[in-house]
Amino acid sequence: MRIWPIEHVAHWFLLAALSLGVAATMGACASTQKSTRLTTDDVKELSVQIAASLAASDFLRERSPSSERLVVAIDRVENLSSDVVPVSEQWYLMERIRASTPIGSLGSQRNVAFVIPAAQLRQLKERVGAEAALAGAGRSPTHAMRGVLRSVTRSAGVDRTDLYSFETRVLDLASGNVIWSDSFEIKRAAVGKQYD
Amino acid sequence: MAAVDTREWNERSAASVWARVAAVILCLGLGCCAGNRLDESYAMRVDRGEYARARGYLYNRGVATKLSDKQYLLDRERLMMVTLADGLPEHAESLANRVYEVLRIQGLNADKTVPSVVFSDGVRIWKGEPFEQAMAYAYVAIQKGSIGDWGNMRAAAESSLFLLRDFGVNEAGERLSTLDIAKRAASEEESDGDGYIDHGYVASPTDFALGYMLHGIASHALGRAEEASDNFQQAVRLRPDLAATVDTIRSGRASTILIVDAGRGPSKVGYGPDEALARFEPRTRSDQRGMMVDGDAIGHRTIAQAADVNEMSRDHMWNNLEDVRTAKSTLGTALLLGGVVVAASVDDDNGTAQIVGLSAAALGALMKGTARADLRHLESLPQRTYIVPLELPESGASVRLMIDGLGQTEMVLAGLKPPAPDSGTRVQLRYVRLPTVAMPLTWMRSGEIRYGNDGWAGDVAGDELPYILGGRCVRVPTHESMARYHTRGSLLGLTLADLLEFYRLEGIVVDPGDELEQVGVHILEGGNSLACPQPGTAGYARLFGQEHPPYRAKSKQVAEFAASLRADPHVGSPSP
Repeated sequence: MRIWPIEHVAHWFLLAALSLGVAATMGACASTQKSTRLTTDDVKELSVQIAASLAASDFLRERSPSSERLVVAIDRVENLSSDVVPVSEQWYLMERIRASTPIGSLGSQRNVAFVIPAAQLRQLKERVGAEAALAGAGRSPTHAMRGVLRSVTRSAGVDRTDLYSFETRVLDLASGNVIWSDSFEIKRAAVGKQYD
Repeated sequence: MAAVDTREWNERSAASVWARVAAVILCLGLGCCAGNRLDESYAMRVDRGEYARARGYLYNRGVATKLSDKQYLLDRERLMMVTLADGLPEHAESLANRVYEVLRIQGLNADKTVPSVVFSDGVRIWKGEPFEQAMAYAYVAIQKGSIGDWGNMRAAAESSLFLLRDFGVNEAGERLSTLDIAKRAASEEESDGDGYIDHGYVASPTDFALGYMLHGIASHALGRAEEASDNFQQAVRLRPDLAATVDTIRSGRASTILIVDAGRGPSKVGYGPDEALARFEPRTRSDQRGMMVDGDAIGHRTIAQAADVNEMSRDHMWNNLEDVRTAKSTLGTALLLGGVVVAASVDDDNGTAQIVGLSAAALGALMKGTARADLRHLESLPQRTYIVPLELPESGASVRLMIDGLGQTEMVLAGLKPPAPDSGTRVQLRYVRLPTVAMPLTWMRSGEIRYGNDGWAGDVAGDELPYILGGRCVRVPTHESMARYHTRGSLLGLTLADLLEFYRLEGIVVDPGDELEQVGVHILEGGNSLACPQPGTAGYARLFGQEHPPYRAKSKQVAEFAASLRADPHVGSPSP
């Protein structure tokens, strides 16, 4: 029977311990997403991109403090994706756009206000829409900002991928013309049985 | 030779007798008469249409609060269903959102290995069989549609249309049963792990006509005509009887669509050695009966079924086969084959084989007594669902529903009106759950509105006073309701603040918006809530279509003021 020298055994123990440690670390890092739903971080990222794009748009860049006052009524997102997005989250996305730094700082520089109906107008808003609600409150909007969320789903076996596209538009309420639009995409992938 | 044959026959008979004795002992020992995990207390309340009490029962029993709790989703689905049935979709919103969120998690039990599941008696987080999940998505869609959130209704309905695993048919052309699949899995997987279960199927498009119908309705409401048409076509392809229903919706004449559930959904029971396998057994038998719909203003029609949950539960495509996987892993292939296949299929003459099979099963059961299938299921599912489009006159109508030939299912929905012209929607959705009773309950057929409520603008005899003060009005105390009392000569000396104080003293929640996370029982049924069910729901009919005992004040002030009103209905200043 062969007897291993003690240093040889120690060497293998050390190697085994290192391997286990690496495996454990890799296992922790390799944690896969379990849902393709949009997360709060996705919403934040979308709102930052939209706000930046809007702030740099021609329609705002050409304006000055002396331009005619613009009131843009922000409505909640129209959800045409394959995923449920609660109404509160639809408003959250638009509220984040309004509250973002570039948009917030445009008020005096461009004489434009992005407004969301106040909480007390919520009931009215649900019945007649944001513009009418604001008009009723004496904050007559000249423009409307609307967002539409769409998605495409691909699934095979335990893999699922959802590509979300968020299209935002600003419309001139008088003419109905779209004066700015842009779209942003976010891809989410998840692995796991759908009904286990 | 004859003597030998006789001896062999006797030995075979003896073996057969012993096999039967062994089978009986095994059945007695293992509880062969499959039990189930039906929550009777909950199911009984649902059957009787006591949805608020069912909700109260669930909350009192305790609702799982952490996702890691194996009952987390089941508790929420139960609550969502009874809250919807009670006509309170706004109050089911957060439940529905949470249900949807959990259903969308993939690999929820991925870290639950079979041994850990088996030896810890079902630590898997309940997610339900695929048909239960499709129905849960459908209820999320119905909740969204009931509050006019068509985009999310569309999304939830789309989620119910997931691909299914089709293991095909047997040699006789019949669809494979779960037992057939268990046999094949046991015989083919000796060297291939769970290969057959994981790969032996074809991904097949769903046959969930109800899901397509809900998707079509949502798309129709959103004005997406082509998408609606595509979904309706799929539904009609699967259930041709739905063509008339679809035509009515697509014509744009229907302003109100009722989703009507009836009957008890199937019950999950165990069978096989140690109840290791599970199947669903009907509690209400399937049939082709239509839903008769009539009313003075809407004429008479018969509507075809849009879903038969018994049918879904029987089809292996709608089962996740986790029981087969678990049984095979714990009892082992030999035991599964010996215990289930041999005992279930060998003829009487082969008694020895039966003894071998039953002994193997008994051994397996003794060794691994916790191998039984997870029998938790959503017992409040209906047996069938109808979709009823209604063309309501502007003045509203009473609508009578009854499953053809089943008088005990008759229900009259009073106070149902089309959407208001300024509501911005051309169609509205209402969910109706018919109780499952032997005789119709009084409120089901009354067709009356006996209490003034927020869902009914018209007058009701006695609603010049709040219910808590001896009247028949259960409207939320607001300036409008106060003006209504004053106009009718009541509570003239009382301000809204005074009235609100009375409600506060009684511990009544005066703003239903405060109960969106957890709604209580209505004050008419002894609770502290004023949440008003939607007209056109079973909850509305039950609450306002029957007499309730007079209110019993809890506070001295309210009791005294109510007494003074009884003495003089036009009493002046109160002293709350």
